[in-house]
Amino acid sequence: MMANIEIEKLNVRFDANHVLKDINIKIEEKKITAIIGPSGCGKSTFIRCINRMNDLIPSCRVDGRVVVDGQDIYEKGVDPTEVRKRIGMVFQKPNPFPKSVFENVAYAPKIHGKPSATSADKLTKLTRREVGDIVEWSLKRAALWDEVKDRLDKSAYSLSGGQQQRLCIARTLAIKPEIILFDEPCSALDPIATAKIEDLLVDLKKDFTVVIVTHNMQQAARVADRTAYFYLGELIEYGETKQMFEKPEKKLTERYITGRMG
Amino acid sequence: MASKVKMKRRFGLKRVLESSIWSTLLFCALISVVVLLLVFGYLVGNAIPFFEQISPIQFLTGTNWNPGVTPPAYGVLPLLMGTLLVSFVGAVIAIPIGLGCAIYLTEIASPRVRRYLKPTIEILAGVPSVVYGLFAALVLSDWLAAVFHPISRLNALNGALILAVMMIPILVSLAEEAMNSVPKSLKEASLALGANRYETIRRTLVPAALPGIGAAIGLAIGRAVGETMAVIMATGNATQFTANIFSSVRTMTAALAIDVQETAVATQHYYSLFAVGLLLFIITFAINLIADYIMARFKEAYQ
Amino acid sequence: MNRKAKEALMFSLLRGCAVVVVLTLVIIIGYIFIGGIGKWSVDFFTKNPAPDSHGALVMGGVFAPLVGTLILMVLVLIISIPIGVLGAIFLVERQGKSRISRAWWIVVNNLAGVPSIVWGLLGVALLVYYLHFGLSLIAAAITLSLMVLPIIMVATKEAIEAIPASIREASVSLGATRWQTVRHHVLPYSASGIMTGVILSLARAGGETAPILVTGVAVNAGIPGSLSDQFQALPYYIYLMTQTTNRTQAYAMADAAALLLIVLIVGMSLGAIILRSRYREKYKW
Repeated sequence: MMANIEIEKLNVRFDANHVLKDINIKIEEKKITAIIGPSGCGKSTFIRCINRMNDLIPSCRVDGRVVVDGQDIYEKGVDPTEVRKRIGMVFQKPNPFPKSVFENVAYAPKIHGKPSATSADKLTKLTRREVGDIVEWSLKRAALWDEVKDRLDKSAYSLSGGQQQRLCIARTLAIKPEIILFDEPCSALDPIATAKIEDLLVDLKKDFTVVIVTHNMQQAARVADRTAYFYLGELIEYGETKQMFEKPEKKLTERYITGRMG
Repeated sequence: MASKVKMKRRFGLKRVLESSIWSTLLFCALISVVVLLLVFGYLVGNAIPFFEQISPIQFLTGTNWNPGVTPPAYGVLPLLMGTLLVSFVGAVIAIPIGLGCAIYLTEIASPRVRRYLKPTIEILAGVPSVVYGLFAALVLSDWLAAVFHPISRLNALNGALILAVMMIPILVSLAEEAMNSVPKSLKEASLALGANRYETIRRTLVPAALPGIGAAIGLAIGRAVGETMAVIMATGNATQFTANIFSSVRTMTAALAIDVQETAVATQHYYSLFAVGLLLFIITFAINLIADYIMARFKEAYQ
Repeated sequence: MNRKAKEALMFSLLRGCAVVVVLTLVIIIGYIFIGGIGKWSVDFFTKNPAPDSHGALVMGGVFAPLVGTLILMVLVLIISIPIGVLGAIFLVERQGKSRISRAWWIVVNNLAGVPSIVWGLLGVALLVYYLHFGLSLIAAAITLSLMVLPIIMVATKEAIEAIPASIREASVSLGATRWQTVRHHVLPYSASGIMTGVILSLARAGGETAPILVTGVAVNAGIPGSLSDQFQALPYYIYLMTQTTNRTQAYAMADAAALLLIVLIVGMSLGAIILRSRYREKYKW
């Protein structure tokens, strides 16, 4: 099994607060990996390290290596915007832009362009048809196309919560990332919308590496291939989901899973 | 889009363009910083030559302001008195009416009335000061003369009244904002305990909104202290040290506007105006700073 | 008296306060309107001020003052918008909540409360004398621009900060650079808010007398041919009319000019406020 993301000795501090302590974990390609744990254990901070979203917080200090496909993304000289073109993120609360459905999905492809025909290093703009094709593909892949194909020019805010979240997924798919990070994507959604997204995740893992933070253990049990349990900033246990839930190795894990804590 | 290309920094045209855009923005920010600090710098810089010749004590305690004669007198008290007289008398008139109107607007007025009252306040706030001055000079002064028979037709009371009119819109909008920020739960608790609406307003709402209201009063007074045209046109502009609201007075702002036009540059008189300007700047800055501080504390309390 | 009666009395008093406020507006605007509407004519708008038999410029119209005021507003627009809006964007986007930035905004907020005559003093010292612009259109325009600079910066800052962080996060997470996020999201969504601030600032600048009084407005100026000429302006014209001896004619002209100024300035303010409420409707974050 090829490891897609290798994290070594990851330590994250917010000013004096040591939020993540010595995390070592290998996340596998084209699998769904769930990150679970009680509130405040550092799950969101962890996942935001993978696409360098923590860079936006001035008080945040990251030490350690996050190696994606052989490249440490925290190495000097690495451009965070390039990292984010290959690692996408879907947030807890759906956050579509106040634009049309089409424009939301088209935004990223439009600003990134494509490698030009002459040199792979230069970028040229996409044609309108190419943009349209990408939008259609992304919406289909996000299981939203049938519901919005007749109202692509309507405001994204006219969609329901679950649809908006799938729109955000489509928007992320449009950059054709290799890895997609989900930060509690269903916590703001009703059970039916949640089920649709969980089905979508299982479909997505065919082509993408998926890492999902969830506070809902049953969700992890339902969709994840591997699960990592975090507690108070430390990685307590990481393994095959089935094994974690049936026969956890660590006491702490067992206490969380059986509901005695968290 | 995502090829197996290393994620290194690109040094292309795009990067250069982006850097130059931020540099331009930085430049604009620097200009604004520099330029705005110039105000203070120039005031101080031009006031210093004055204070080298006339002591600050003499300036601040002298009761005679007459730079035109020889020997010139540079006591700022008449001007300060003029400013304080019109501002505070104006405030005494404006505060009850403004607060009363604000309370009416937030608590008592029906939505229909509110829809017409709010724009009225906005319009009052937008009228230029020279128009208020016009009204004070031509109409208000005659009305006051008919009622009070003052020594001088254009006087401090005239100025105070028109300043009150100018302060009311500020008071109403800021006090309204303050009262709207008080959590509904407080009012509901009071009503649930059997208090009627007036008692709720008096004993719960207004005390809770007091910091915001205080800040509103501060800002309104700050505005009044800094007003120039309305007082020039309304108060008669006689420089005298008096507390009689029926006599003509000259405010600091009026003195600046009138004298600057007639003073030659780099004379003692010229520098003295910057001393007055500096004093005015300090007073308004202090009032605004205090009001801001009160507002900030107030917002914290309800956040 | 019992509680209910007391409540009724106090409510009447409070209602009375509101009535007083409305009455004030009605009386003042009414006076201006009645006194001035009679003078509104084609000549009023198209002719320059002309002297009467004693030489007082109370005859003719307000063409030069009106044009002067409009030119001033255009100049202030050109000067203060780039510096104020772009500068504020930089400070909010790059400096964020740093200590420097917070201190700076406290300074800017308070500079917005500086009396207009103090700006006039600065204009005299810096522009009229030190930079040798003399009493001129450019000195007055720059002075007014300085005066509204803090107001524009604060309005821009508030419009930008109203955009929720989640939208920015979404843009960044898609691989957009800082400038791309500003250009495609921050600017478009805050544009109406910024424009409201700009229009209100221009209205303020157009209605001010004190700063231009000392930096270049003149009683006998015509339409300025260049930036170094002196000029006329509506607020100053109104002030002048109250200082002459030919009372009947002058006062009527003053009222007419005041009416015009109110229509112009209050019109702009109301327009800005309507724009702001439409904008709030559109972006219901």
